Amino acid sequence: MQLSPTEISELIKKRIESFQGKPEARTEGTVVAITDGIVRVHGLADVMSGEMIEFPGNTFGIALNLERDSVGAVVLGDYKHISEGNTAKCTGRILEVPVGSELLGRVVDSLGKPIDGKGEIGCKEFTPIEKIAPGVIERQSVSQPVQTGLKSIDSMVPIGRGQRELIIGDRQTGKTALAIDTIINQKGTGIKCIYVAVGQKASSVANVVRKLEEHGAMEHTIVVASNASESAAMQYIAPYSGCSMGEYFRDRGEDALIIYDDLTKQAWAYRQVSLLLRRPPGREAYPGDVFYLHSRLLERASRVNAEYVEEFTKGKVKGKTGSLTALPVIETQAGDVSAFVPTNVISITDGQIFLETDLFNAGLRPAINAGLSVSRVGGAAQTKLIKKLGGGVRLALAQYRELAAFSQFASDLDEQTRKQLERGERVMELMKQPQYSPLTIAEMAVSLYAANEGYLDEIEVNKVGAFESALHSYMKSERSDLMDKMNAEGDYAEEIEQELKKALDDFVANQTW
Amino acid sequence: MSDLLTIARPYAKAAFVFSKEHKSLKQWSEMLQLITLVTKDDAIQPILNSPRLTHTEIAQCVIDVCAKNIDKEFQNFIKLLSENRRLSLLPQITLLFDSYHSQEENRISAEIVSAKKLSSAEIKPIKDALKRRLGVDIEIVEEIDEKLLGGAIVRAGDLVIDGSIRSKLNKLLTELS
Repeated sequence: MQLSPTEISELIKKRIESFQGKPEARTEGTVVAITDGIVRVHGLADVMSGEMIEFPGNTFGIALNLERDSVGAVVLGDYKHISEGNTAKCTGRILEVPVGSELLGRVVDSLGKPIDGKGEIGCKEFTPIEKIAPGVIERQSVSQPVQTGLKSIDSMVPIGRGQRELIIGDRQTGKTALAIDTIINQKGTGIKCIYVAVGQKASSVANVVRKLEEHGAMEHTIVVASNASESAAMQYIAPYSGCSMGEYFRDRGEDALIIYDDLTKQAWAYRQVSLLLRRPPGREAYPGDVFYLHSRLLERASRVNAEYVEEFTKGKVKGKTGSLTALPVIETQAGDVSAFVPTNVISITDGQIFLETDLFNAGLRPAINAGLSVSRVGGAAQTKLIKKLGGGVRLALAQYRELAAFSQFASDLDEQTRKQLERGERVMELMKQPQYSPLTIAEMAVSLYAANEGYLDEIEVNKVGAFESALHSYMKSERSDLMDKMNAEGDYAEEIEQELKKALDDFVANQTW
Repeated sequence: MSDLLTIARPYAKAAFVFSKEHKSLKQWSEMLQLITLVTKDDAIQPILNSPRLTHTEIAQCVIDVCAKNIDKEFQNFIKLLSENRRLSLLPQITLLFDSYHSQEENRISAEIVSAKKLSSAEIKPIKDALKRRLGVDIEIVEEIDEKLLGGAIVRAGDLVIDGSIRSKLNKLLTELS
């Protein structure tokens, strides 16, 4: 038997002193059946939907089905010790999780309890996991960018603060890698990140956490993990818990980014709970409210105006807007985007990043399909410099795709077509970017400028990568003033373009790659 | 249990409304209590579930047992239950009937569980407080449970007011662990 650190007599004395032993008045019921984590309770006449129910052994459940003579509830966590005839008590509260900046750098479960072995977190505040999203009056349009550090995304499908951008693709297409790169790139930007892992292998989550630590990204990140071994109820609530933790920052005039990895598994968990609760199954056996499951979650990602922040903080934070950007992840089966959950989430979000197995296998990583990926609001938020310089990239790729299919049949092509094809090939090559190496705005601008102005046209396709990295290191060592200026302002100006032209001409004339 | 209550509800409601209209609530309540006891009897049980008897025979058998104490309408009620093969629901019907009955008379039965027998002077303030809180007449049922150590638990329907030493100790235990 070992003595635990909380067993110091002074501490115990204090806790006995502060202990409130008031009599409690609660509504009670009796457990009549328990099957697969679903409890049927008789009694509990005035229970609310979504209310926490207390079972013996400090176990809690959520009341989901309110029927005439019984209440159906899911148990959070282990249910083996609950048996028929046990009492179940109402608590009068909705499920709450701890929130606050103390959580940054930690790995927690769906209930906000630490699972990284680093001891107690000591959060002072708790908020309900289910909250209504801000209304129309409280919102502001998206106008600031979230830099992912990936050329292909920041130039073609830009993401704004407060936007919801879906990451969709088959298994093994780099969905999580894209999300992790985005988190790493938020280092030093003030954007707090929340990574919600639903139904993943514990080893995958451990890998993600280690990678984030290696790149110094854990300091601004909260990981909410509900692993595949946990109960369906825990997997179902994990995104809502993570969202509440993100809303803490949004409501205080800060910016946050939340990644739900992935919502397909959450929908599966919810389907399991619903079927066990005997709710009628619908398409693909999902319950009728699976759309609402995701829409109410994703609506909470938003940009709120300064008045809302001021009112929420009771005047402590003035003149600052808050935002919560969401990057939900959906895994498709064999590229089928017309399945139930993918179509739902595509229609809810403000755009999607489409990842394809074929592109991934062809070596184009991130494997983004530029034709199908869109960002419906990000254009307004895109960094001006990237918008101006990267405008031609999307067009070049679109033309390339069209011609590439056509040119397979034609033997001799006219000059114009050949040029477009060559440009497209090089732009495709330029869009490749290794994992864990996000680029700054300036680096991206230089690469995009080089592609747009035809500096790549003379370079062999397999040398494009080498050209780019040589260009970046040249710019960093020789023209750091220009790079710093671009990074700091991010705005486009005539003289920046002229300077870029001069620098590139110098580079092409004097350097090797 | 909850499913049985759901099935029993229409019967209880019909019986209640009927007896209210005929101003025979008290008699019906007593008859229901009686018939419930009868159907629970070990000697009657095999007959109720016998596959060889028709439902009319089963009903007749039950009626014969307590013929003196039940009126014609109640006999019809039993026949109906037997016809629908719902005689086994009688305990639930009685339970629901009684709850309708006490609702009608604006009273509720509350259970006080204590470690030691309470004197009537001790019970009175509890009864008054409950009456104020719930706004209905309270009928007190006492129960003794030495495991509580001290204090009392009051149960009125689903509402439980727990002021026992045992629950305080349990709370202290979860607080400290």
